[in-house]
Amino acid sequence: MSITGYKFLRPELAERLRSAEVTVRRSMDGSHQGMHHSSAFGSSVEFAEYREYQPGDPINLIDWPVYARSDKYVIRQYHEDVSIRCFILLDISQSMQYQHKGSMSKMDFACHLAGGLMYMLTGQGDTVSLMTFDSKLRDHFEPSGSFAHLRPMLEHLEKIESKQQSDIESSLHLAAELIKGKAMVVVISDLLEEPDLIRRGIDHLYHDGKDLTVFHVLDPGELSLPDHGMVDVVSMETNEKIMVDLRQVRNDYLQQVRHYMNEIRSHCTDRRVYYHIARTDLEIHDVLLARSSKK
Amino acid sequence: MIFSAMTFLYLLPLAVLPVVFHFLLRQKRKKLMFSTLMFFHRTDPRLHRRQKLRRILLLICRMLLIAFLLLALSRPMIQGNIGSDTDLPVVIIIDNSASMAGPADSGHNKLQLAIDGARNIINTLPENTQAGIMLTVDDEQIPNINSLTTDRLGMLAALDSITPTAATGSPAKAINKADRLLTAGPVGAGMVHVFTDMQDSEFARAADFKNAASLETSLVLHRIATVENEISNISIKNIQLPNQRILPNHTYYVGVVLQNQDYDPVTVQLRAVSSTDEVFTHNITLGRKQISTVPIELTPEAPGAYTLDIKIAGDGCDYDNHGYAGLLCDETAGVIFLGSALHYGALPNAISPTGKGLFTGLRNIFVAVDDLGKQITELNPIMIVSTYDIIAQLHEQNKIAILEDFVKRGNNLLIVPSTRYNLLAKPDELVLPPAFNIKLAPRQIYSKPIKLAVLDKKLKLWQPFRSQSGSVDIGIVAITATHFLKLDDSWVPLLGLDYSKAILAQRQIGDGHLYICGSAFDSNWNSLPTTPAFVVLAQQLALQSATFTKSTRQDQNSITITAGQGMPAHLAENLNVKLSSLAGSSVNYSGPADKAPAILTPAVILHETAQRQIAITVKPCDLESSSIYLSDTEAQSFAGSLGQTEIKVVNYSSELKYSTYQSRRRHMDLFVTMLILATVAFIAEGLFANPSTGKAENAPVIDTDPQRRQGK
Repeated sequence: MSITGYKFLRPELAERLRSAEVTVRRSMDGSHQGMHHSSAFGSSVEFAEYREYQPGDPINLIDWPVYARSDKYVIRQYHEDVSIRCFILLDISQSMQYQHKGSMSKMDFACHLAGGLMYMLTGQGDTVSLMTFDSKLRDHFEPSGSFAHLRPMLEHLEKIESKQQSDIESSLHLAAELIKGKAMVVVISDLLEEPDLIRRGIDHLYHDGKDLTVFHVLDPGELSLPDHGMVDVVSMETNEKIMVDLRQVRNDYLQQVRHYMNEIRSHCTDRRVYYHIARTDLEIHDVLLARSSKK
Repeated sequence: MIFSAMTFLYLLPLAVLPVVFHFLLRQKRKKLMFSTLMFFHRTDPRLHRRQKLRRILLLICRMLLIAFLLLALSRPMIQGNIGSDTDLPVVIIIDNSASMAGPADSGHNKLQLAIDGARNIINTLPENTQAGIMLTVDDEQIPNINSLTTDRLGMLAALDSITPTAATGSPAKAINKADRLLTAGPVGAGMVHVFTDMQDSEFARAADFKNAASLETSLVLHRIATVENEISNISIKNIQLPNQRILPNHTYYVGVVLQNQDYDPVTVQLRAVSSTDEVFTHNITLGRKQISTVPIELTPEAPGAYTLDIKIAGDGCDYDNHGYAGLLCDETAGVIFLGSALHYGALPNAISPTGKGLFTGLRNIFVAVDDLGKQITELNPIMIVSTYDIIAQLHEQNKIAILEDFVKRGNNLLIVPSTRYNLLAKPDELVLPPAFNIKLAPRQIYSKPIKLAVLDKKLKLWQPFRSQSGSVDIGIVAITATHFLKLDDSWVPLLGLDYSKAILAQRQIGDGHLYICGSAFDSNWNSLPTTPAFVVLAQQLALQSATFTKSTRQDQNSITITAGQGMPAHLAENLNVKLSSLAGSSVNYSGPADKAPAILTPAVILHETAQRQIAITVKPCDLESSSIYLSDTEAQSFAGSLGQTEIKVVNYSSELKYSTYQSRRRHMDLFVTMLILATVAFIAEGLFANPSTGKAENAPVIDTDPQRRQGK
């Protein structure tokens, strides 16, 4: 396994993530033997249920000790373990370019997360696909299960340009329609839209049976406000300008941020969504390992 | 409201500076690119409106802060009258300047009306109420004034002894003095009544009155209306005394400067009677506002004081028609001849025939060169005469500076060839020290006498030879021997063949004159000593030095001062003086000069010290002759622009009583109030500028630590 020379997947990160595992909470569809539960019955060692023998079933599946006790022909069924398909939805809107207190911009941090995740998933035999979005879905790579096939996605991360405003809700709706079956979906975004819109997008994916993980990428500056006093605050996406005394609105602002984050977080919890805050001043591997079941 | 320091009030527009800075700095506000405005929009929208309101309030606070500070510095006060006090002290100021001697509406003398008004107030004073009398022209002859007293009889006696003066007064100073007397008194406040004709010359400068009285003093100005003259008023504007040393047997002129104060021409008669009973009369017509000088000839025959009693008749106003002039004639003045009389030919006789000043007031003194400095100090001569040889000798002895200093102090030096030069010998080379800035040509002898001419005829020196047509005639004067003078522009040629061949010239050095003559005053050299003009010319040369200049004016022994204005500074030094009256008002004082009383009426005063005598002519103050008085309207306007000094101007009433205008002023100083308001504005500005809501320590903390959230 040779993964070197990518901006967003550095060898030291890959080394740290080598033994990490990513699991899902929901049964997934999969065509290949893997490590995740499937909704189908298969040949794993984990008992699932009994069912009555139907003519045509192989007789070697009949549980003879049960027949001896109950004079009934029953067949013992086992869960099937499959490999999963993971779709990484990466937000490339202009707001992701923000950087104030973090070590890098939110965009760069998100790309590192995407690269690391792809590496982790591929390493455990799952297939992974990269989808970028802003106001709509932009790029979509076919799921790939080998390190060799990660190359175009990793290279694409390095070429991303943020030019558009974001429309997370419609992007998530589109993704839900595009991704068939039960798959893992990882949303990497700053989610800077109204919580109701975010909720609707998440709900669509959830009800479609997707196992959802959200990395909420935020710069510390967004969580505490720069200490600049009277400024003209200009939106990076809309260029809208507002004159604000940051010292005066700080409390109100932080309360709004806290309220917004609580809403997002509680909704994710309700929908059994893995929700992780990815502050750009944190180490990337720490954020990824928080999602891992084996650290 | 009044302001004690108006200057700061003029700076009030500076209060808009915060607005100016606001707009200037607004362009430089910082721009912050941010990921989203969502949270800002979700904050209280009122916050942004409050923000704008806060900024406006901040600006208002800053403007108010500056405005209140400037207002505080301008010392604002509000004032008003409250009720009346029965025991409020009162000071009565009477204008006793010269113009008050004129008639009022009622036909009475204005001063008499003022005294009557004051008497009414004093007669109606409540018992034990203090009062005082003051004058606009200080008169030390009046008893019981300038203090507060309850002695009514004393005050009435003081009023009776007030007489007109020829001086101008200062109502503002008198008000200030009265104010100080009242505020230092037991009540600390009071009323001032001023009786005056409001002559323009005394009330023209409203600024003098602005801080004359404090806020505790109530002022009532009783305007005594003046009757307008039917005939123009002619006044004695000045008395010009000769600017010379007065010597016996010389004629001098006293100039009486007359001025028509009004617009209609008028003919008046000037009559002057001398102390030797000589009478001089002169009729003169003066046009609108015209000024003219009438010369009065005076020829003292002996040393001593001479006076003139000068009166004008025929104009519209009498009080300013009288004056005196006084001259003090010296005994003699010395003329020093360096060396022997043999060198100077007929010159000593021409200057002083008897040598002792019997006829000319000049006496000849022959001194040796060695004693020059000492003799100058002791004898105080008006001229030194020297030969070229002696000048050369002094030059060798480095004593030329003594002569230069002598001339600079306003005296004369005449340098002539010695009459003992041998005219048949080889021509002398006459050389003068470089300091004199002149060269002489070698001696020239004419076989036939050549007639001399007067060169610069405009000179005052030729005044005795000048005819009425202006021509100057010294008779026929011819020369046979002379050194022609080589003159530059600093010299003025007096006598010569023509301007290029001058034999006598003068040059101004300091305040004195240097005369150089190229021909000796001897009949072998020229015919001048044989002509009648010689005596006159010789004395003119000597007497020119007796003219006083700015630097030697202190030596003048006949001077003029204005009534009420005290002695000149050089006479007011702390020496013992004796003042006695030669003419006019009676003065008899002996004591320190700085304590000598001011002379308030026209007079001639003899000022004596151990060293010298001076005749002081006290002339009436010409300002008081003005026919311009403030009208009723002008008086009200004047009273309305005096800032802190609040004057109520009323027309004179003979029914006046103590209680008529009595009221007590109160004032409130707003300085502290303005300072408090400025402080409030300052605190408010601080609150608006630094709202406490944005402090980081009070801000809610957003928990982003997943482990802590999960309770790990």
